[in-house]
Amino acid sequence: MTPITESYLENSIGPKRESGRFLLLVRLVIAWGSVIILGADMAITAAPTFRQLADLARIRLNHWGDLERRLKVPGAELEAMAPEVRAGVGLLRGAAAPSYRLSPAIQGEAVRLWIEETAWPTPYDPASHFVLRRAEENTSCRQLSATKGMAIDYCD
Amino acid sequence: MNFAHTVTLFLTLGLLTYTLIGLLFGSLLVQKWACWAGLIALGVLLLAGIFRVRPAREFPRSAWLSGTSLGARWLTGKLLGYTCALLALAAVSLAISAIPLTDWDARLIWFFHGKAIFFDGGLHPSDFWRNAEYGWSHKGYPPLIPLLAAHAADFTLGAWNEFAPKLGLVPLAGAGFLGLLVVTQSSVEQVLLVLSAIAVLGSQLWNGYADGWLALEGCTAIYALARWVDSGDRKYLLLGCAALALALVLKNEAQLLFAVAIPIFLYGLYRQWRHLQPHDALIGLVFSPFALWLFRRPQLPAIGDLEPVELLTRAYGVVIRWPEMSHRLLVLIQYASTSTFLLQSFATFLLFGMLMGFDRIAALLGSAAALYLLGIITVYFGTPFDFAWQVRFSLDRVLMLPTLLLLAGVARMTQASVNARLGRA
Repeated sequence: MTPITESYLENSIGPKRESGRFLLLVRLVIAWGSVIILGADMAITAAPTFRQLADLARIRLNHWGDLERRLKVPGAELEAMAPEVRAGVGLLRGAAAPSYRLSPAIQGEAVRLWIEETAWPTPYDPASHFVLRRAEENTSCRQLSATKGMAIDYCD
Repeated sequence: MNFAHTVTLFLTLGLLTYTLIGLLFGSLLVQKWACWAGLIALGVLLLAGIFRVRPAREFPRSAWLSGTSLGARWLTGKLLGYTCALLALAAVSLAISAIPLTDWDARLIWFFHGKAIFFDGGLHPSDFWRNAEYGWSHKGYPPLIPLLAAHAADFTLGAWNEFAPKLGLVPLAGAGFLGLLVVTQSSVEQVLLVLSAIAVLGSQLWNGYADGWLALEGCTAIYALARWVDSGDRKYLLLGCAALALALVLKNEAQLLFAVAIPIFLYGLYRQWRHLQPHDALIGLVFSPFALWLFRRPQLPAIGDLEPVELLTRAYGVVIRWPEMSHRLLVLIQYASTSTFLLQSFATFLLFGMLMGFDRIAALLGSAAALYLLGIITVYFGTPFDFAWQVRFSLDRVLMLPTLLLLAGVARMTQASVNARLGRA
């Protein structure tokens, strides 16, 4: 395929090259048409993305002091986590547990990962005396405290 | 070398040096000193640039005033692209700081490693790396984002929360968007590519995932190498290698990108070897952070679950079973056709190129995208996880880089077409 260069275009112009000019026009229309269709598709599909970006930037600019405040607070925005994650980690910190393990019910759920991440630097240890469980689970250990559907036990 | 190119190289090489220091010394304190030194150097560089770059010197006053002047062309030809890229950089930086860490990979992989590094005071063997329970966090993933996150928390707050560590992503945004700016040649291309990057990468640029940054650096790397192949200008070889090295310490998929870049590099050697000097071999040093990471991984230990040899072995096992392979291919095509711009970009790239002519750079970009896609298919064939689950939750993200490469090729050919029309006029 001949690349569209300046010399190509020059040679394509003139009364003896009408068919060449027509073909060139067809090629231009199809090629640019495909780009315009792709651009329109992207513009429509990605419009919410651009809107979200603009909104986030505007929110941050309008609430600059809020960023400064949040940057100065350890643990800020932990409330973005699920209530059970916050409750579980709060119980661990309240009990000053040096390590912990999770009940079999929590072990089988995806929430386990979020608890383990949020609880760090308190390490997970399968041999720990502190056990985090759902409040409705039965236990043979001594319950230290409970809140919002979660409980922490001490097992000898 | 123009000012934007210098700043981009400074940022990219600075991030590589930062990673090297983090891996060598394993101490946030040393990194803090290095970071201060880097920020001061960047400030000096920017000040020097502001005082040195005077449009009036480059474009005489008479030229600014005349109707079809060089100054007017500079305004339309460069200023538009630069403004678009800088606005995108500013908006993405603000968006990064506007939302807390809530998404899966961001929180449970990248910033979890960063949190461990922060509480350990650096990257060295500790309870986190030794504890087998945290194997689900893919501890073998590259260290740059965790190091930046740990340092951002240390630098801004001295404690951990859900906002401060994310500020570590801002230098990546700077290197990424400036990289796109300097490898492209004119405003049409720059504006199209920057808008395409935001459209394709979207929230991956501000939610704490690594895929958006990999796509930006990968696109910069391949484009810069293609520019070097085409022009022989060694500044593009340096930028291409530096961006590739940065991608390698960002995400494991960059190893595939590295494999894709090898044929382009060899083609460049074939075309440009006469213009190379012996000291150009020193450019290879930019890969030292990744080499050091490979050396440090077993010491932490940070072993991954997607090792290349095992992946290829499993992929071979799928390829020799035709029914399984065809089933997996169909699933991949089904998801790819519904969830990304990949197929549309591929069709437009081919149609535009066949009708208007591929130039060398666009052809290299398209070839790199095709090779990368083949590699991605191989990786999916070799996944140790449930295939459908893996495809469902990751295909969108891994297809971002080839999509961006194809869109860069389309932008490149569009610019060439505009140039031809303007030249005729």
